[in-house]
Amino acid sequence: MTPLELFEAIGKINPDSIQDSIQLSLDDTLASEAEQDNKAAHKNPVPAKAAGIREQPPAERRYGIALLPYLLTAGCTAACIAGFGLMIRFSIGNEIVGTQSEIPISVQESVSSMTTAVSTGERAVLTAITETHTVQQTVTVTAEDRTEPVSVTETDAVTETAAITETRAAVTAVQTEPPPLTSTTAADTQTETTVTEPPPPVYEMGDVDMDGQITFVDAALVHLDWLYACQSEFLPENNPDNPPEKEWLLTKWDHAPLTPEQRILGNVNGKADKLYLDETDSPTFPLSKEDAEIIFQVAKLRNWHQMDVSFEDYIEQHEEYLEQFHEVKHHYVYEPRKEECDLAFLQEENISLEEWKQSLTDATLLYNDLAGAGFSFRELDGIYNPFQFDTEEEFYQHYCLVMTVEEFYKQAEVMKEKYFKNGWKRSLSDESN
Amino acid sequence: MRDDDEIIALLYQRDEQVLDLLHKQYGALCFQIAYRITGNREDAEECVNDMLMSVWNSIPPNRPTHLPAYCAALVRNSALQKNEKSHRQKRGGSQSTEVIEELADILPSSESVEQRVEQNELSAALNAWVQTLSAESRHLFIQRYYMSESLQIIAARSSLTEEAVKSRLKRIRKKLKEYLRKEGLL
Repeated sequence: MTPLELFEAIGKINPDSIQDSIQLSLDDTLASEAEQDNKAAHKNPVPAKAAGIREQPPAERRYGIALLPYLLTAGCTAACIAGFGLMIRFSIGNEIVGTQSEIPISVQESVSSMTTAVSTGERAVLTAITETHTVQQTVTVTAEDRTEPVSVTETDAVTETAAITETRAAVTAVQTEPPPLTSTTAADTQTETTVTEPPPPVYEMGDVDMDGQITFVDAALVHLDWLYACQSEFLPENNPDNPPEKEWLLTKWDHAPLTPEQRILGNVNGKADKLYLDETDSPTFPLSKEDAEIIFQVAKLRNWHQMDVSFEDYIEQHEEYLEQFHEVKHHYVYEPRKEECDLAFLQEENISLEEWKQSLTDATLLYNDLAGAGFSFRELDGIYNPFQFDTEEEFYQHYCLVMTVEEFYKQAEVMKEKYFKNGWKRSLSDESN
Repeated sequence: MRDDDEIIALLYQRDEQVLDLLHKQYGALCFQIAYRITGNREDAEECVNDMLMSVWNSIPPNRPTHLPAYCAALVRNSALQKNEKSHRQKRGGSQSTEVIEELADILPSSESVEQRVEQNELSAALNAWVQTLSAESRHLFIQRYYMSESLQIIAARSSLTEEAVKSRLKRIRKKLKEYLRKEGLL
């Protein structure tokens, strides 16, 4: 069978059985047509895209970019730049609606990188490449620009680049020219170019930006890898002759005064750098707290007993979680989805969906509290360890429904006692018996 | 907008004005499907005309329950036939080439083990499999592999990121592969 044959066979699927999906496309097409008609009726100067050519996203906004760089020079180093900042404002029509904080990260990054290259009197061409357009603007920086919006002297080029699929921005072509040049205000220089709002940045494995910030996917990998290694080390079958000493365990797991970020990254005594990142990336791992929260959630949700798969397969299995938390990364609190719930179980136990959701949310917060209060991952593993469960659903149901908060803490103490008070070897032999 | 039943009634009455109606109502949708497969405007327009002719010739006796889906199926087949003639899919440049390449990753790379399998058998299996998917997964699969929609458009329509759509499609393909294997079609 060739891919083409499969493609053809898909075309023979009974249309009646997929009419809802086709209706979606039809509705969308009709909506696009109506929008284009509406634009034409209002004499919109932007020509309607021909059918079949890249469509504009529905949330398309027209905004202009005005560049507002600020120059700071230090007195003792007159020839050098002490500081420089840029602000970008974007607008809908003539109304300014946002500042730099609302600009997509990729564009912000390009602007901040510009600060290292531009000084007084220099001209810089800022190129912002969106999905559908390339916008270039030449900016001249003058000493007066310290507090006033910097001039935008000319718009060099506006080029449609429909083929560009990656959103990125870059600053190029910096050259020196004597000041001053004509200044205009940001409001006067709003570009009339239609720029499609770029999608949120997409993190991929291996992404490390200029500041050495690792993306949350990287961090998740580091974290998971580290946990895997540690678990392997702790498992008696993997280390029968040399189990970890109690003191070592206590140092590593129990008493280490770790921040939540450190806990999440597993950055204990540079342990992580042996596993995944090279020396240039360790040992600081400047991960944002938001990202750390996500990883925390991912770690909680994963199946610990499936760690014998390859990393690639493992991540693939958990892509959905990663996606899910990527999408809600700024909300922090995990919102359980209906499809994750075993409705039959709830019905049997006479528990409403809302109660289930609340229990799970409480448990999530509780887990975070425990970690923040000094409980180690190992201890939490003991509590949240789903080894004994066949499915994650069972795991959730047990810990999110069966246990109350008090019971949860009680169980935590029991696990702590079991693993640490009597020593590692004893607890293992107890388990084996 | 005319009701589908009304259009079908006009077709049964052999009223030629119905072709204009059909074109107005579903022409854009069908053009886009054809364009994504052929990658050529003129070919796509021809496919839409072929579709109109096929509808005219097949209704009556047929009476589709969902006219746009019926038109979509006709125009898709027409575009594929046109593509086959010109071997355009091998040259790249159309959305369908990309779609077909994605489907290639679930098939054996070398020998065509499934020469014994008739296309109809495969289609029947696909029909059954599609019904096992969740509504969301079915929408994604059909939009991508039936309608040849771009990832960008699917993402915008589904309120997902392109990456999310990609990975979900990957999982769906994996499911399809498992299903086809289980059915002895791979």
